[in-house]
Amino acid sequence: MRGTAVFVDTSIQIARFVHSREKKRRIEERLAKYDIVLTSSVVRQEFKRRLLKEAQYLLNTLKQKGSFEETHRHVTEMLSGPFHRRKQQICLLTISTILEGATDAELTERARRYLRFLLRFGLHTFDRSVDHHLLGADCHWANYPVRERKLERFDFGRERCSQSEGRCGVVSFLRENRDFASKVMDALRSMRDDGKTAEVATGERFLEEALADPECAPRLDPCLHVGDLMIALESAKIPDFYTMNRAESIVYCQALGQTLVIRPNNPAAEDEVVRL
Amino acid sequence: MLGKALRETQEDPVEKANIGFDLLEALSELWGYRDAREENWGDLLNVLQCVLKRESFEQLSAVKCECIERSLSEWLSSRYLQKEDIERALDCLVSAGFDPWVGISTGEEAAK
Repeated sequence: MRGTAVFVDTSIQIARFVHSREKKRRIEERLAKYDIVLTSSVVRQEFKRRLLKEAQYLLNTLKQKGSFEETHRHVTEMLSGPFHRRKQQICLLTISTILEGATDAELTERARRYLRFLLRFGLHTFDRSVDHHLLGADCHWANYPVRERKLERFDFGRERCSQSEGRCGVVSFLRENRDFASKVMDALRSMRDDGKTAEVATGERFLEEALADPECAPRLDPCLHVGDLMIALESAKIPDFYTMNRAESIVYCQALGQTLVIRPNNPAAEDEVVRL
Repeated sequence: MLGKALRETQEDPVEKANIGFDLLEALSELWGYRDAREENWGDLLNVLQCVLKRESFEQLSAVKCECIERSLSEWLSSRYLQKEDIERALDCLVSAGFDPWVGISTGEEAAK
């Protein structure tokens, strides 16, 4: 597989941080087969929006409850539905397994330190974990630095392109990548409606509007609402696309003629390589 | 000193493990002094403790031993840890094959 490049999406980048040791090992094994590992600005933005936002939530809860055990109980209770469980990334319980016998006060302090450490240095590791960042849609909020406004209160920018006061690069990105966007649009139009996920259907509506008038794109907040589509377009020139998200990726990779590499959730399972 | 000893004991896994246990104990003692140091120092110590508690010292590679030695002599022993020092320490840990995020990652039990 030498001489090739792979694009890593948000699900893989987050897994490289906080998923199980075995899954991380398998991901690194896969990435080692390529010469260049790339990611993009919308991936960086999603990483902040998903992982760092969750770290801030847990940090706030730890601060409010003042207890590791109570925080764990609270989070388990509040985020108990399958939707929230699936979205939850950080596993606070691990620190209590590693530091067996530690008191609640010690675990509270250590968890707070760990989360703050992730918020302060997570993006540094994120940036170092790939060989190259594609400018792509040049998402303004992706480049916005993470700042600790006061102790344990972080500001990592907003989530909407429409709030970037014209500093979002999505308009020129869509103009430059009109051919790729049209390819995806054609593929989506040829699909049966019942075969489209909600996000793919939203992506189709976004493309219809944005191809007719790229200037309207920031108003539609694409990074927030159709992130998978934006990431697909950013990755279009890279032959292999590595993800844990099959549903949308299979549609976009097929439209763009990429090889899709899927990392299953089960750590024991092998990666699935789908040549489309 | 423990870091150097660990690096120099490549042949004997039992000795290496014993040095590792001494190291964990020393780090645990250092943790008691965290309030006397800046936040960065305590944060790095916290991460190092979690990382090393998950290691089997018997099988620790030469690269990992070197990284531990550097972490102790270059960073934990420094007078004041800046943001850039932490970034260098993180880079060193990652390139040696350690997982600095192990403390907040899914455990093997939960992953099954």
